[in-house]
Amino acid sequence: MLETRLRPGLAIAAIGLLLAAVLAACGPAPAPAAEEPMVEEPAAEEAMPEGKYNESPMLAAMVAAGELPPVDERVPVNPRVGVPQIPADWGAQEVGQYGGTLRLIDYDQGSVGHDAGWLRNEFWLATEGLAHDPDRLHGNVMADVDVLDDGARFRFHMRQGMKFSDGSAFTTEDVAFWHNDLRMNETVTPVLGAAWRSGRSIDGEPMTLEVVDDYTFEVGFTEPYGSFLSLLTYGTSPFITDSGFLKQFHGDYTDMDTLNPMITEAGFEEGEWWRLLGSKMNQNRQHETGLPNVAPYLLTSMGPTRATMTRNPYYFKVDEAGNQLPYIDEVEISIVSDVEAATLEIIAGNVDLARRPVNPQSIPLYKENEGNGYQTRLQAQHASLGEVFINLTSDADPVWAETMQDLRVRQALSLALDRAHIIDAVYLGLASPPRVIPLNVFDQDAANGLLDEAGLDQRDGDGMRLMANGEPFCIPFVMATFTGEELPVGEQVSRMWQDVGVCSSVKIVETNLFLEIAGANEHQAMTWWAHYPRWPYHEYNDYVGRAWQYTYAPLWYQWYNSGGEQGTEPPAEYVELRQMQDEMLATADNARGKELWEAMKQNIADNVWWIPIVDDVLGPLIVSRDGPAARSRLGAGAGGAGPTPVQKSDLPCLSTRFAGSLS
Amino acid sequence: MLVYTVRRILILIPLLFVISVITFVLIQLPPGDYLTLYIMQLEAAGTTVAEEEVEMLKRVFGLDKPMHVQYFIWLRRILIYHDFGRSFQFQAPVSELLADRVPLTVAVSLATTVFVFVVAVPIGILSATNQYSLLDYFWTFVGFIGISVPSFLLALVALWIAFKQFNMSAIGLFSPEYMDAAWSWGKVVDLLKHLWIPVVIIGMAGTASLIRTMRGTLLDELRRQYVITARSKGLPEIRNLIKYPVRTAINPIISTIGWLLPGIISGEVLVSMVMNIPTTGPLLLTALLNQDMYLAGSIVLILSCLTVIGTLISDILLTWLDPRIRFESIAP
Repeated sequence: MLETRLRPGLAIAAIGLLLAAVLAACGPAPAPAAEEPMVEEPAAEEAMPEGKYNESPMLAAMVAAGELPPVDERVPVNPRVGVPQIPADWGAQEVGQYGGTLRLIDYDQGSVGHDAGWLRNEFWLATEGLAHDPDRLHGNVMADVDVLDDGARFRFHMRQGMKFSDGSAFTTEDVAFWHNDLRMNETVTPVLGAAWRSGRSIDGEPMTLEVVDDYTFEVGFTEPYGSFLSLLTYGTSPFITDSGFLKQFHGDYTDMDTLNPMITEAGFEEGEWWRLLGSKMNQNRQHETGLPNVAPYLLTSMGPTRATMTRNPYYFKVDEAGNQLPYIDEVEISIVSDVEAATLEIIAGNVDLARRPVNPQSIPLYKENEGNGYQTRLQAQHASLGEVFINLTSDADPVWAETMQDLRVRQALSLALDRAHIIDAVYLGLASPPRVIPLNVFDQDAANGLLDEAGLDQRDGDGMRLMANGEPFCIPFVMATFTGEELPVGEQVSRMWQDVGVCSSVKIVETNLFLEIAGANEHQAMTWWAHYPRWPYHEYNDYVGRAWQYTYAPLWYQWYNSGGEQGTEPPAEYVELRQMQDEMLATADNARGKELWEAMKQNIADNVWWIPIVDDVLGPLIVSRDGPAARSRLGAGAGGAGPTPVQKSDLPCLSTRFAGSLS
Repeated sequence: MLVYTVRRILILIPLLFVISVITFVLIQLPPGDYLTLYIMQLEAAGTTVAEEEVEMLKRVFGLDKPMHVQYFIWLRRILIYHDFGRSFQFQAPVSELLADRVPLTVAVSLATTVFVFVVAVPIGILSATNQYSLLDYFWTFVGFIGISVPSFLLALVALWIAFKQFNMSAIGLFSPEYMDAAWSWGKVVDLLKHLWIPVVIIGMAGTASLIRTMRGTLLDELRRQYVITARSKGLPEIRNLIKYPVRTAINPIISTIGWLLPGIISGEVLVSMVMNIPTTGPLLLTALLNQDMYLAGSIVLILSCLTVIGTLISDILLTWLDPRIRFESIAP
């Protein structure tokens, strides 16, 4: 059961999905864009005439009671217009009706897969990217951005009159607080990450921030940093911190006599104000702390089995008709113990939208019970859940590692895999052969030929190939399971390798034990996930070998990162890959970026650094037929239950990255 | 007697201290810490974690301090403020998390215990007095099923039947309308409506084994001379049964009551997970898997204390009840 609980990716699905929240600047052009012709992006976000905004009856009542200012004062002068917070394949994209409660479900709030879980999984409820759109970069929280000095400086234009959920103004003062008092404050942020430094390098100069006026600020680097904007559209939400609220807990603004009682009360040691501050910034405790933000929904309660959210009265988006978004007033999240318990609630029809706590193996069960008021759809996943990584620099056996570093061996191992069979057996056919890194030829004869050529032509009594030292050439998979796909993929791969005389076995170990083995660099092979749809900017560590995942060549990774001081020297091709990547992340030249990305993919395919298994993985999405979701932009109005066509562009959308004025 | 009790209580102090050290060390023994797993989870969920976030979290969680310092801070806060620290995963005080779950855990455990006793003892007596009858065979059969089928499987089957036959999902302890409601008569009734399913399922194995124990020991007793003597003297059968052999036969069952204390708080893990009952069992499990050390450490510490105290109580009770033990242990 644990295996299924830990499925990560269901969540995030296609690129497009994140529309709102997080994803974006670059990235694959998703199908949804094509499916929603009715959403016409207004040419420019002109301020609507005064008094034109409508609001939910729930908020209107509060205004009438004097608890809230009128809607025209709550919405910015130039609100974001006509952009729903959810992707098109979740529901109809038309002007909706106000009201209702959206019922969601997720498993254990503190489960292994998640940090007090669901809130991060359903981030579209509670976070907002600075800029968004899977296809084009345009404003979201920020109204606009100008790229200056060939991509070394960025001028952001904020939305005038935009407010946090507590009604306080969101201005450059808040942005400056984020920069000066959080990111650049060594007590709060002891180490400033590469993302905020010139050249996206840990040795680069930290970024600078210059406030122009209340609604304009500039971010600067010492050299062009082409991928900076893409960073802002995904994951974290920099700049969005309510300084008025957080200053109360910041040691530089509030004296220790006031802070200490709060610090001890919260369970920390006297003087540790940064821990107090950290706990106040935790989105999962918003119902207690009242942490203001700019997201569509605010957390109002969180218990062991249920959490509730209510709409943010100051939300900065309106639809084309001038209705303040979102449409649905309340969100109710059932928190169950595991994915099976969630399945039961889903098939009983108690859920309006289920994206993460679903299970491809349960699709027949979902379909069978659709009479209970929901539809089963398919959506693209944000990750491919079982790719084969071989540790080319393993310390377990030097002869083995040397054998693995022979390109012919890796090519043969890839050729020996019948991916079509894996797609049927493990992914129920809901995936395609690798396309981003097009290693998808299945040819056992060629595989055998290459292995013989590489000097693995001697065999033992069982027909297994022997290495130069006379030991059998074995590839043992030792890994922890996280998504549930690792084990079946590993088993299939292992069997197919045995067919070409490579002995192979699969062993699942507990996560901590795996970390210990991997920490000692003694692991030899594993199946793990890779985020193809999010390449090349967001999950670029996938293709260079991330350190903590210990994937395909940790010692080379270290060598390159430490400038040759640690690790072992990699082959020239690996160094070339890393150099191309560095340049791609920095360059502001679109054509050059594109060229580099193509060359990088070619490099990976040519060298078979790891063995891709599938692309375009689809998973189920449950959407209720009626209920509030159907009446609004979460509705299930459009489309049937058939597979959603998915396109996953593997091109970086550099061409659109510097669109100058962004929507 | 008093000296004995005081001495036993004094011995508890170093014992509990040692337990707290062992607990804390054991939980920290696996490589990595909560942050390692946390980062892995975030990346698995598709969030990139920047280096500065890791360092910041380390400081926020207090993981930048050496282990012994972390231990003493934890212990000091427990002793002085009765504060068990904060859970990393939930970002909430441990005491708050437990306060949410302990009452329901106790309710489920106590209800289960009562269910087990109420069902098993009479059936055990009936089986023994009507040995090899149809009734005896029937309950023997039920008993074997109860012992051999894992309770989580029974839970799954029950959920499936509830869904198929009644089109309802039987998970949880409350209907949605009562989930957030304050305690009221309606909520209690609602709880009782849901409570019986997990109680029966969790109690099944216990009931079954208790029936077997009761039947076995009672059969032994029934053949004893004193029973025959009493019967020959004309003592009514029912009185003869209840007053003597049953009292003796129930002894091994009563002596296990001492272990109930930690059991009542710890909750049943598997069935709770399957049926989605927010008891402390699943909480401890996820805490251990995530190396959420203050949460796991505090639960283990509390359970250890309860075990130790439970043992103390049963020892004192035994000393009080049984003169042989009393003279042996108390005599200097």
